[in-house]
Amino acid sequence: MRAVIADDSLLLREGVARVLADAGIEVAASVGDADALRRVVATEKPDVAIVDVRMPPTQTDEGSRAAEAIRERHPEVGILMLSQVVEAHTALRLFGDRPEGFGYLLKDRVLEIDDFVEAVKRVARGGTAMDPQVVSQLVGKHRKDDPIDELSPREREVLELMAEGRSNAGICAKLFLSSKTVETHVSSIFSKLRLAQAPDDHRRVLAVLAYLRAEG
Amino acid sequence: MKALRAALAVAAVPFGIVGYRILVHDLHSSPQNAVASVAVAWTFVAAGLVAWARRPQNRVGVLMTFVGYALLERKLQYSHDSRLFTAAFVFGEIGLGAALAHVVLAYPSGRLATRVERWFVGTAYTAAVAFPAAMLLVWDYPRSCAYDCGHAFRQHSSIPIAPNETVFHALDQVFKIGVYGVFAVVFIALIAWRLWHATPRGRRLLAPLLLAGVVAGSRAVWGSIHEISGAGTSDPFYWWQVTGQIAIPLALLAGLLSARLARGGVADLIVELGRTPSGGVRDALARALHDPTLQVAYWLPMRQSYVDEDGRAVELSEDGRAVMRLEDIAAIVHDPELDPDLVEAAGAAARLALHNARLQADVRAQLGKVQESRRRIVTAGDEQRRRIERDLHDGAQQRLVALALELRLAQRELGAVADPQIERILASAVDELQVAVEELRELARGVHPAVLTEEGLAGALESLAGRTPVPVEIVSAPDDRLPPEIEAAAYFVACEAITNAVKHSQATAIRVHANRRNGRFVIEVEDDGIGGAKENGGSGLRGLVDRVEAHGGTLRVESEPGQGTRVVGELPCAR
Repeated sequence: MRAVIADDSLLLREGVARVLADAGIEVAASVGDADALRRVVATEKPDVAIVDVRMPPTQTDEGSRAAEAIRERHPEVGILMLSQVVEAHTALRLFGDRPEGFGYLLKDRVLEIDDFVEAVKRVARGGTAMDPQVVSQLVGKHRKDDPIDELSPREREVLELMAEGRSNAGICAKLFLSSKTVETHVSSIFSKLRLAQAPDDHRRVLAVLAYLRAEG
Repeated sequence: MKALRAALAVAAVPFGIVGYRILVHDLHSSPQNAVASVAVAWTFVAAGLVAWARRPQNRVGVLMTFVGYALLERKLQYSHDSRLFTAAFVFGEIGLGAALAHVVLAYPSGRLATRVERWFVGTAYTAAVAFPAAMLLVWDYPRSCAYDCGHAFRQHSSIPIAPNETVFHALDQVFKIGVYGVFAVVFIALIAWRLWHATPRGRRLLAPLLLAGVVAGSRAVWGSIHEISGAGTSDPFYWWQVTGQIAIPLALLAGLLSARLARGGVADLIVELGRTPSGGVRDALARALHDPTLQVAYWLPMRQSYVDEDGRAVELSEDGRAVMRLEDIAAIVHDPELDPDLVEAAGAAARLALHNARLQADVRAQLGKVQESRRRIVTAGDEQRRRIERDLHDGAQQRLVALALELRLAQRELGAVADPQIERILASAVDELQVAVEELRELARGVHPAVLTEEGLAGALESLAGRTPVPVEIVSAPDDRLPPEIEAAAYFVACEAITNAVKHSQATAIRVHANRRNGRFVIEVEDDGIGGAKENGGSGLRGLVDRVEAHGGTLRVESEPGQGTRVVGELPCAR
């Protein structure tokens, strides 16, 4: 598995590179701005690019614009966006209709090394990584007569982990539950939210996010 | 002046009788023609004196009187007495030529307005005296004859220095045909030019000019034909001329007196101004002077410039307009055809009202400046907040996360080999750093949320709702971006209102409406809490009122006890 890193902080870039190297992920390139990112993605063809949302020269949204361009031209490259602040509105805009191979995490998530590496691998394999803070914003979005209110606290936790993009195995590990229990929760959630069961993890995330983003 | 006018009135009577006698006895005119000729002169004198008495500041009256006397003087040149003839002949052409042109062109103001007019009138006076004077110098008695040449009697110049009939005849012809013709054409052209450029109101006032133009034109044409063909002027033409010449002074007088009647409007103006609010001074002046296009500009000495009633700077354009300056107060920009005396009188009458209006305009101008600077201060503050947020984001937050990651890696490296004590210290350092990063993030969000810059008001409100412990329903939010200062003001209103609802009102539900209504952007936050909040209660709300008002908006709080609280901010928003 190969990754490229784009972040204007050299210290952070090096730290992330060490984390990935320790986890057995090859860091093909590590760059400090959006133009360099586009170049190395084209030349290195990595499995995943880890991209800071704000980068020079304007420090506004260079990273996210570069990410959009890369998704357009190299759809096979997974993108994991890192940001100092995460917002549901921004997340939904960045994800668009394609949560496959896309992640959006708060920058400090790199400190939870195991979770972070797991998210990088998931995105590299075409999965999804949505920041828990975004998920709780989405789940907490108040709607009248929201079926989410019918979920048990445990089911709510499972829903949030699904929305983060985790697989059943990931959820089991996180909540220390058996895979059978998790499966029961998942099917209960889908029926309470009146959603059709999704055949795989990708489509499951899609369905959950579509449900959460729908306007009340 | 009164005595002078009386003397001139009285003197015109014997003067006219003498003229009549000379016309009848020496020129052998018919009595009716002689009476008519004297009547024209008397009409000018009488109309002139009346105009002079009624409008002493206006020179048209004086000029008309002068024309009348010049016409009376003209009769003396027909005298058979050589010295009287010589003296009268020199000035005989002034009355119906230069002086008449002068008074007509000077009407209605009494002054010749353009350089061309002044040049024309000056030249006309010069020619009217120079040609007869030169003719007298070359007078070749008894062959020379200036008029009435069929008669046996021949006039005799008292100053024949170089008698020469050929030169005399040439001068006579050039004067009567050439000079008269050219001057008549230029005179008619000047009148036509003035009528053409006059405003509709001015054209009515200038009607006497038209009459004078037609009279002068026909006289010049007929005079030239008569001189060239030698045929006598017909009777109907003579009477037509007399009628026209009597009509001119009467028309001039009527025109002047109608302006005089408008002066009655000035009296009404004084009464009206007592009742008008100062903003209505312009309208009152426009009505009194019958000039709907009239404008008033107020002089602000502090700024050394003119402003309109609302305090906006204006340039005084004199392009096709006349400007009357009331020293240190205002300028009245008006139709150039208005009588300047009348405008001055109206200005003087309105002086106090204009002074008040000037003070108001001054206050408005200053208020406008203060509002402008208030808006700039708030906008600069927002800009500053955005910069601080960005600096925190790219600086401290970034470094702390990188540092925490370094420590985390160190913890992992050491974890296996070193003392568990060290690992614990490192782990808690990382946790502390994470808390610090989180606090910085909250601080930056409070200063200026990044989501507001990046996603606009809808995204920022959603984020705000997501972070609020009480359910917040965003009922409406704009799909597109608004000007940044409007977004910031609306956001901070919502933020403060929601914070207050959570902290003080025991609300269980909050609803936010954010949308455009009739060119304004309205942000409305309502809760179902206990109510009783006051607009000037918290410093937070007070600051919001300042912020909203700085952008020309309003903020109101409706909070009856037990009825919940509704905070409504309205901001002007054209887009």
